[in-house]
Amino acid sequence: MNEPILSAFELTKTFFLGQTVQAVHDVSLDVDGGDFVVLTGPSGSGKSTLLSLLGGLDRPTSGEVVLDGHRFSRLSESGLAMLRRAKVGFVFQFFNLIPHLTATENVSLPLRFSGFSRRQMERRAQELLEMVGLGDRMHHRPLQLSGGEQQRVAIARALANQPRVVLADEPTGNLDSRNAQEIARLFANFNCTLGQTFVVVSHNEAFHPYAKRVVRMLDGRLVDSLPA
Amino acid sequence: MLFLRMALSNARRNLNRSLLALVGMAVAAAILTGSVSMESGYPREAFWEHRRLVGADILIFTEPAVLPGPSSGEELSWMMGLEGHESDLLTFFPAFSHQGYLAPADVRTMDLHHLPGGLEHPEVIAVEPFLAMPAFFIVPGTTALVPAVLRGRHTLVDAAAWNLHALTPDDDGAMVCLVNREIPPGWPDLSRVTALVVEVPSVVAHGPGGTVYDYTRRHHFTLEVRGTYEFVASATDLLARGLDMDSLEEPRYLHSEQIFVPAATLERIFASVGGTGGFRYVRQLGVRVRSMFLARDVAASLQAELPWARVLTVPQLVQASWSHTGQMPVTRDATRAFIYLSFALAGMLVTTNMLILVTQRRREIGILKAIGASGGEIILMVLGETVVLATLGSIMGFALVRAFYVLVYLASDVTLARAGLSTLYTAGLVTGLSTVTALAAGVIPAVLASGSTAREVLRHE
Repeated sequence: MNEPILSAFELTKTFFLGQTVQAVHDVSLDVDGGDFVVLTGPSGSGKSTLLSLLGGLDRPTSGEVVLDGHRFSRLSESGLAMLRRAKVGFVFQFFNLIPHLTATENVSLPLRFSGFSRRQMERRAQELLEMVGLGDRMHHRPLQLSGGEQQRVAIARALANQPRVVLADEPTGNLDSRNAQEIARLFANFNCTLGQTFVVVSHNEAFHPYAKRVVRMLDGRLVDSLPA
Repeated sequence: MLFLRMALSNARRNLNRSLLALVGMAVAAAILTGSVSMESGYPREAFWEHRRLVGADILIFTEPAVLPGPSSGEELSWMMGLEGHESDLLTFFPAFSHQGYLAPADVRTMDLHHLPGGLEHPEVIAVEPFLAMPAFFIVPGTTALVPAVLRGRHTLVDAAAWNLHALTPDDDGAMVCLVNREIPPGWPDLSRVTALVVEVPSVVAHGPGGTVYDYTRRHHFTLEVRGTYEFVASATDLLARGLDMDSLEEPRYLHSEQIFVPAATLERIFASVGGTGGFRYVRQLGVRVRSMFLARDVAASLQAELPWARVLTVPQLVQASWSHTGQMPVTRDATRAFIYLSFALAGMLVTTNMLILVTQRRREIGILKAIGASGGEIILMVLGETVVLATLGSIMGFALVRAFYVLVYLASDVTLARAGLSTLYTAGLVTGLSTVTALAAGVIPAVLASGSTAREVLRHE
């Protein structure tokens, strides 16, 4: 059995918005290498908050996250940034590409912070764009691409640094069903062929056939963790 | 290049404010460029044609020249203009009405055979010693004697400065002279005279204590008049002589009782009237430097060698003369304050612009943080963008103003190399100050940007 590469221990996140809101409550979760976990649940159940805690974008009120042996609580903000840069890839619902950069430049952006040469960045970006089926769109800007294509660029960007885990927050939330299916298949393909670990927050059941586990959240708690 | 493109794209997002910041920086850079170009960037060749506009090479006056330093608290006392006399003779003969042996009091001289070490400064290109002897000339067609000064001029070193075109190096040692194109009061017009008879008093002694002349024994010399020299008036000259700068028609020339002879000719006359060992003890040195950039260094270097002397640069001299005439000078400090103020204003415009841009870009910054950019890298990125914006503005302002000055230089026969070096110096100063301003102006927006959290990108679409 694989060692978990990402673990959450008794994670709690409380917001104070006029009143106390417990977005995540006492959540423990292990994600193994090569895993494909789908987090599902109704709106407001704390899925995105949990994802941001797992990715080190936010700090928990209590509890601990361990990624590849690194305890988040012991890392400074810049330490977390370094960890994200090296070991985490993000895919967002609204793609979040830089609009005035080409597809290649968007994909190579994470590599820029890791000290790669320009040639290495371009080669890696082009390789990834080929893998997501955008070999003929490399020099297009986001506005010249369809929603599905933009999300594929975002996936390529998330994979640029060969991260230990890719965290995706509603990656199909802004796509039609056909594009949603394609994105789900793309995730599955990377999971099978490259052994890439995914944690995907999604309402969309398109991911379920490919997921190794489906975790359901309700009111900030994990209520089910079922093998798919 | 990627971040540069991001910076330019972001600047385009808010074009009006970016342009305003750009223009603000351009104006500040233009003011600095103009000020530097006028104040210290002018090479000597430009100075002579534009001397009323700018400071130029340094003139160094020693104690006997009676030019107190501007910080001494003394008023400028221009001995040549005392008591209505307009004669250089007064520097030699304070009691001119007395007959017999005369020697000026408190004389300190410099030995031309052992010049002070400070003159070995690499910026010094020529030394112009004050080679002069008292003399009288006989008014042509009469027996009247008029007091004058025989001034030895180096035919090469001084040629450009004094328009000594009528003298050639071959004339050195020949009995030839030039008279001033501006006729002093009470003098006849000598420019049409072909020969001038002068009487020079005998030299009794010539040493570190000065020169002692016997006025009762004078020697006759006949000098061929080769033409005229031009004594171009500077602001200093006019003010020191109590003249209104606007009262004279262009070009402004000063009259002087000096009759120019080649330096070797003066030596010859000196030897003929009893001087021995050569004319080596002078009371004043003019030191010509390449430009004003390091004039103060040269002055400090000379001052260290000659602690008894008063060493003045031309700007100090101008300041002293302004002080004397009771006018309020626009001092270098005030100019600097104006420059700093303009940069501060430009900096504020840049800060405002960057604050707005950073606020508009919270999402983009959040994305960068999510994919691994640290707070420090975001700070560096925003500061880089600020510097790009400021540098573009400063280059615009610099280029516009400097182009004008380069044209003036070239019109003044300044070599391309000299103009280029001076331009590089000014460019370095302008871009340096712009960069410092940009960095200071960008700190607050950069720190605010680095505080954006990536979580906001995830949660608020």
